[in-house]
Formats: sequence, structure tokens, C-alpha cells
Amino acid sequence: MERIVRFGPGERLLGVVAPAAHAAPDQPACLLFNAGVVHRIGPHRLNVKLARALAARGFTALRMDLSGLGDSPVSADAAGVNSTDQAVADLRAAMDHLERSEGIRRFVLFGLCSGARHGYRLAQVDSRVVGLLMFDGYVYPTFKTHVMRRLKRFRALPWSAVLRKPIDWIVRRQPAHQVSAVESDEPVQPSPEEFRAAMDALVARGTAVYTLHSGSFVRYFNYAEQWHDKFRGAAFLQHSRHDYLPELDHTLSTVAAQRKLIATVGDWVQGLFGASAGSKASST
Amino acid sequence: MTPFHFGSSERTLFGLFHPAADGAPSDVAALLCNPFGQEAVRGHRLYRVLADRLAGSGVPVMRFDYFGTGDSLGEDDAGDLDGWVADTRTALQELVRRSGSRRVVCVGARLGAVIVARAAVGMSAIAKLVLWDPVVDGAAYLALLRTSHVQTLELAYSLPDPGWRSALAHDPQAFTDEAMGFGMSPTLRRQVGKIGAHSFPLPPGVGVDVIARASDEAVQTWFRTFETQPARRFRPLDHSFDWTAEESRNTPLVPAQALALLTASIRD
Repeated sequence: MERIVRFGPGERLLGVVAPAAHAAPDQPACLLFNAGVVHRIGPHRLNVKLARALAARGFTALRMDLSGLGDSPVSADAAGVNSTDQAVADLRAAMDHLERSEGIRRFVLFGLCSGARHGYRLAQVDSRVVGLLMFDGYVYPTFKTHVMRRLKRFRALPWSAVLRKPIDWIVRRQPAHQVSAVESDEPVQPSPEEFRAAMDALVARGTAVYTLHSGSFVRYFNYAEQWHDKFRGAAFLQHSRHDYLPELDHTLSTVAAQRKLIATVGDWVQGLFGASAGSKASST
Repeated sequence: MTPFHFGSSERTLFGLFHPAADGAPSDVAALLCNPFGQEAVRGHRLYRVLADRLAGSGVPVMRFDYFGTGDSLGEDDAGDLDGWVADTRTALQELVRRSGSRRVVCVGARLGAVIVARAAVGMSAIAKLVLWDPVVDGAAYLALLRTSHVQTLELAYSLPDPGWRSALAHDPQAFTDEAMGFGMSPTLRRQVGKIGAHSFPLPPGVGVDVIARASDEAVQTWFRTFETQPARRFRPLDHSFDWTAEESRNTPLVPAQALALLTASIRD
């Protein structure tokens, strides 16, 4: 039976705990939180469905409203605090609550969009985070990304069918050069160097990292090898998982997309932290 | 604000109770009843603000999720209209118990308007119905949901599939088992498809305010069938609330006029 919980300063933060169907010692709990302005149920009720699926697989899952979103009021100490710092404080309060009430000391974060960025920041400052999944978080286009964008848009035109084969041949031979953040006009995010260093540090600490990108941002992320091309040689690439799933959209607008994501996330968490997986903390 | 579970163990529902700010007993409380699916997500913040405002002025308020929606138990496709009518009656009884109020104003938005109208039958505690942008033509509503679903997909993907529009136009079975990411059972679709002017058994002696755009011909036609009855009032809303938009689009989440009209209707 799910439980409603209030926690944090003044017990003003609101969440719902889906308890693990079968408790196992030292099992991490999963934290699900707001994407954009949607309340704790997530876009199209995704967080509810994902939380219940994770609970059925043996992982306690807490879905919550960050300060000022859904049914959690704005923090009394909000003045001068940016949204990411507040989100990190709120998520730490959630972890503190589960640690006190359930004895859970390890956590897996599921961050979608803005949530991915919050999770990225939290994972760096709190070693209780043993798993971080970022869905449509940061993007780092390469030169090939820009070529692929134009090609994909071209291929979407009905009359392009006759030209498809020669174009494919040309693109396959296109090198993946680096592109600066300024030149690429991508969203505000850490520099590639900062991101690489942060990710290397996370995996060195033993945190499992999984980055997923959808088919909603062809402008910035549009081929499966993009991550490896951008961060070629980085240590974190060998110890984390990266997938490009163009069949999914950013807010999982179909039941089929939700099922795919829920199965993917569940398999990842279970593979790393399930009873049969032992307690390995990082994997591809 | 107090979040809580209520209802039976088989049909556990999630609710939020906003007690009157001054703690004084209030003869009147308000029950806010959701639209369906994405429309409920869009309306969540407005309902939250409305509840806070009412409670601040001394009116206890309850919001809740129907079975199979929001934080209540149940999968998406476990929901159906008859069940949601029953849930609303359960919520009404819970609100009366928590607030101590003898009279309840029930607000129903979109499909919620049909739900509260049906739930009101035989419920003596209901003093007034406030029906916001009511769905008065079920077949048209289902068509709208299909179109909105395809529009959502086209906006969600960088490269929309032209097959979606083709399927929408030529395959009547396409996009019928879900609406913008929320599953719909065949039972629910059948029930919604039958909605018409006859679907609103407005109890005599219960005030009814209908809030909608004056240009909404379907609602106007429906309203004219009972406008001469006592305590029936149409309150025009200039703003067209974007019920099916994804949250990221630049449309207001809490339009001031809608908030003001709802507040006034509840407090009148």
C-alpha cells in the first residue's frame, strides 16, 4: 500500500512512497521528481507508473514535488536560492527522510529534462546517490549531429526517397568533429570539459550512470554514437550506459513509449541492484 | 493542506483537504472534481490555487483523484465514468466528514462536469454545481481527443510521422485506446461516446452555474434547454483555457479570469 509522506523543513514537501514488493537488505530506493511544472505524477502519469513498476521489482520508489511545484509550497528560505540548489536541498531532504524512516542509505535518481540536471548536481555532492539516470538531460552535439539533422530532415521529405542511397553513402563517411557550445547554439549546460570531469568522478566513485536521449531533439541529439564521438577516450564511457531511443519522445506521450521507458529503466535498475545482481555499483 | 488516502482498500483514492484558514466552522465546503487525462494535468495548478484561495477565505476544500488517475490506485484503463461518479460521492462524504460543513459546492471541469452532475443525484448535501467548460457532446469530445493526440505527437517529435495524420483521417480505430498518453478502456470510450444533453440530471433546488465561452455553441445550445429553470446561470468566460496543451507550451496555467469566475461562483 502506498504511503503519503511529508518531509523536509517544516514537513512541507509532499511525496508518495511505493514500498518495495519484497524487501531486501541494503536495496537502494528510487527518487522520481518533477519534470518542468508537472506535479509529482509526472508527464502523462509516468512517475506513478514507473514508481509502481519499480516497487513491483523490489525497489522502494518515492515520487515527490519539489519546492514550489505541485502540492509542495515554496521554501521559506527561497530568497536568493536558485532552482537547482533548492531542488538539491529538497532531494537531500527526501533521502534523509527515507534513511531515517526506512534505513535506506542508497538512492537511484530518475531525472527527466530539468530533473536530469537536478539529479546530475545532486549526484556530485551526495555519495548516497549510487545510480543516476538522466533522460533528455544535457546534450553535446558534434559536427556529425548537424549533418545528421539536415539529412534526417531531408529524408523526411517524400521526394527524397530517390536520393536516399547516395546520401547514406556520403554520411557514413562523415567524421565526427567537435563543435563548441557557442557555435552549436545548444541549451545552457556545463562545458563538455566540466561534464566529462563530473561524469568521470561519478563513475570513479562507483555511481552507475545512464544517459538516455529521445527523438524529440534532433537538432541536438540524433544518432546513437553521438556520446562516444563527443567524449571519445573519456573514462566514464567505459563505465556507464548511453542510449539513443528515437522512438521515445521527451514527455512519453504514448502508452507504448511509457511502457518502453519503464521496462528500460526497470531492467537497468534491476540489473545493477537486484538481488541476483548483488551490489555492483556501476555497469554499462 | 492535508493529503490522505480514502475509500475502500480495493478502490483507494488520493485526496487533499484544505481546511478553512481561520479554523472556524463553515456551513459550505467545496469539492473540486477533475477533468480527464491531460486536461486534469493542465488543471492541477489552477485547482491548487483555487483551493488555497477559498480556504484562505474560510471555505474548506477537497481535491481528489478518481480511481485509475493521478495518485489514486489503479491503472489508466481501470477508470470508467460510473466508477468515477461513485468516487465523487465517496469524496463528497469524506469532505462532509472532515469539514463538518452541511452544504457542498461541487466544481466539475470538462468531463468532470458530467461526473458531478450524475454524482449529485440523491445527494442532499450538494448545494450547488459549478460546471466549467462542460463536455456536452461525447462523440465530439472523443474526436477532439483523437485529434489532440495526433497534435501532441507532432509537437513531441522533431520529425513527425505523416502516417499519423493519414491514420487519423482514414482509420476510425486509430488512436482510440489512449488520449495523449492516458489509456482509455473500451468501456470508458463507450460511456463518453453516449454523453449528450441528457447526461446532466440537474437536480431541482440545486443551483447550477455554467462557466464557458459565450461562443461555445454546443454548450449554449445545451444551456438553453434548462436556462429558464430556477437557479440556473451562465457565466461567460472570455479566456479559452488550453486544456490539452503540454505543460511546456506557452499557455497560462492559472488564467486570472477563470480563477475569478470559479471563486465567485463557489462563494455566491
